[in-house]
Amino acid sequence: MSFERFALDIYALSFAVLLVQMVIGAIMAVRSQNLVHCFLGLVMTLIGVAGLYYFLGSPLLAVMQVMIYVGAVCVAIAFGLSLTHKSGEEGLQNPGLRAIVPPFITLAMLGSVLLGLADREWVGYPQKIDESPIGQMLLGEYLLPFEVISILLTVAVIGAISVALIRRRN
Amino acid sequence: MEYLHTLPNNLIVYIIVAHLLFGIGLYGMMFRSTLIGILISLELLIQGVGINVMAFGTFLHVDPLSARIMTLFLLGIGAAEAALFLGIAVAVFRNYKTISINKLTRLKG
Repeated sequence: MSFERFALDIYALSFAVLLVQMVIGAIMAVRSQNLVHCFLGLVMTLIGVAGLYYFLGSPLLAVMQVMIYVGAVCVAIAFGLSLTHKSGEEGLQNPGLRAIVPPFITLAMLGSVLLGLADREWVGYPQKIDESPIGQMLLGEYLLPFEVISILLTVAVIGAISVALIRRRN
Repeated sequence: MEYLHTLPNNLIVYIIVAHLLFGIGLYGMMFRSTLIGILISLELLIQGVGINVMAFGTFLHVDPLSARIMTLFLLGIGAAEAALFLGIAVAVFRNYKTISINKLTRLKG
């Protein structure tokens, strides 16, 4: 077995491991009784998604995913978890017959997407491209959405702070 | 092993995983019983959408850079939404001493 062959094996195997890790993490995040286990499952899934972005040919998005979600959002969720913790309230409601609704919606969406893809030709494949024009595009043709997102983030953070402090001010 | 090698270059794999994440997140949003649990499920749902956008942009579009920018915006919106949701959850807990959605029924007719 040549070295390239071995490297390709490792590459494909790591992709499969990432997929399995993501799905297990997602199921853990949704089905677990303990909210801390849910949180850990979410972290597993987010790291798996970052790996998937890397496999799709974008190291920039993988790093952004780790920085924004695993680094910032998950820490915020951990703080929220500890601030609002009250034992005996975790867990799931009894789904009953309604449990078929999410699989039904998901299968309908998946079916329509695959149907739409049936007669389309794939024009690309995952490859590493030069991502440096993104900065200039953000300040050029995508300037308006960029500014709107920055205003949205500012408003959201100020709103979150003021909502969380309402009681304390009085 | 040969089949495994084609896995990372197959659009269908990415689409199926994205929809799986979306479906699991939807299940959690419907059946979790605390606000924080719903937030965690919502994050899963947004991740599914992000993978979908990125996969379509990579495989079907001639310009992969706009897909990356779109996914970056999606990450930003997800972060803003998480911050606001956590602020609301903390405020609700401070006022009602619970975040269980079965007990937050003051607006129920």
